[in-house]
Amino acid sequence: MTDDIFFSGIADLNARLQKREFSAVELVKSFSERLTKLGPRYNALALSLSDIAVKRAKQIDDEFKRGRLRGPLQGIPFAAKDLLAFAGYPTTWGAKPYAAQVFDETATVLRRLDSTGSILIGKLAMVELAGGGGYRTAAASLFGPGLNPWDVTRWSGGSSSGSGSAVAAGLVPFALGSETSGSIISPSAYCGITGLRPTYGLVSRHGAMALSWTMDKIGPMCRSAEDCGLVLETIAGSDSNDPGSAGKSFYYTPQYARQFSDLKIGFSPDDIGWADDAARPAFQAAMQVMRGIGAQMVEVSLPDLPYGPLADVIIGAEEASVFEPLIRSEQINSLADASQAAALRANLEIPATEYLKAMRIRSVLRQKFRELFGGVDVLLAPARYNVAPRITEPLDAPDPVRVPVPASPGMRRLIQAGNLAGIPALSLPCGFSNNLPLALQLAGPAFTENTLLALGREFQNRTDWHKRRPPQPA
Amino acid sequence: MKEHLTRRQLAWAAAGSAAAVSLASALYAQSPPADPELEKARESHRQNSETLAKFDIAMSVEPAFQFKA
Repeated sequence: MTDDIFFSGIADLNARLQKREFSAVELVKSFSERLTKLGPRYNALALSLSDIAVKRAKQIDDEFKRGRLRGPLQGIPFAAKDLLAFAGYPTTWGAKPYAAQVFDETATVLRRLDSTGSILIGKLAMVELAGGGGYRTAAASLFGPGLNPWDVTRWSGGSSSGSGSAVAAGLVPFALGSETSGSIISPSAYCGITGLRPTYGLVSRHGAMALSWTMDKIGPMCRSAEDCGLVLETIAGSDSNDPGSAGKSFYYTPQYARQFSDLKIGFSPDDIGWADDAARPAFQAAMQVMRGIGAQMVEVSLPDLPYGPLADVIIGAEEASVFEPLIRSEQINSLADASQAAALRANLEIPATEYLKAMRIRSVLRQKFRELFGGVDVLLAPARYNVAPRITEPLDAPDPVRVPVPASPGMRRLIQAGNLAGIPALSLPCGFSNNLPLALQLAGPAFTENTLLALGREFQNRTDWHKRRPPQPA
Repeated sequence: MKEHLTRRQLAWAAAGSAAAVSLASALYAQSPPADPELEKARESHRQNSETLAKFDIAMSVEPAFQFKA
């Protein structure tokens, strides 16, 4: 098999499996070897599941021989963020206090993928406890700092660090990540891959580490919008084991998407001014491609709300309740990032009235977003306004000062705002700055994933940023 | 009933208070310094509190979650 296999899309791999160009066992072995060999170079691998994956691949090959076809994910290897339980194997949540933790039940999303013949070949590294307490360094993980395949002196992003690195480096065709406030969008943007944060409640969280019950989402991190749609179709759906389940299914149907000329895309012209100087030409060019798709471009601004404090209070209070036993124990001191341990302690002191006030303001936020989406169908903004930071840089540094200061805040808080609103978002690679990936973000009303994916697919039909490959490690 | 203290009792009490203050000062001086990371996190909470406190909200607005019986 050539290296091209490692950067192929899901549909292509599945078609070649069906044509018997290679077997599922051969495919799984090839990706497993690559993941095991290269994963540690990016601190991306939490656990190899090669042995059990090869056994499963043999079963899938038997199915192909018998003509039992289960869909486009059949025989496709993948890996999952180590916050998803896989029965009988360690699930560390990226944190030393849970390094030996083993569950006896498998997460719903992994069971769903297994039922369509997709093969789990490993667990991927993550920021400890998904970083909810706020962390200061890229090294806030049991596995060390997530290293970016485009430049290993740079961070892969968090908290789905390993998922971002592994897909970018061609170690898996796709991965699962999770997002509470940016943990799919950010590593996808920094690593130059395509990531989808689904609507809250569309994908079951049963078997996933809880960080914030009202904000956690699980989603696909892939090579393309097309692949995100295929994976989402499998992992979405009602689950009585998840109290937050919306009870909805998802069918990836880009062929039925609205005419692009009927769509109104909201954007802020001030966004470019908030981006790093070196990144602005790429963002401007990408915005031009979006304009070329034919949708109507409408200037908008985000509702003026305290997104940062709202997210801090809601996530802080909920995670303090989730992790209270850890926080009150000595084990809290074994977290890799002292600032996160301190924030977790302080979060126990958030008054109930303050949490409730934040949740009431969140109701206002939801209403304002409904009004905003009365005028536009999609919001468009840079996914991140900078390239991946160096792993030695503090992550809690204040935003750089821009001269001149843009006239409005633009969409800079769209990640936090979108997570608080529970709406879906798609990160699309859109260029490079200093040989590091940049990305656009599309966000839409709840359960409009097909619109975002159709737009994303069209953008990727017109560009090849998502096909670029990072340098091969020596 | 009001209790009356003698001048000797008052002197003992004053001496005791001074000793207590002295002891507390000594203890304070010996106690470990506050965790700067924890103080930073608390300061961040204080700022969040102040920001949210400025936000007036109608009584009719309920929190963004539903209780299902």
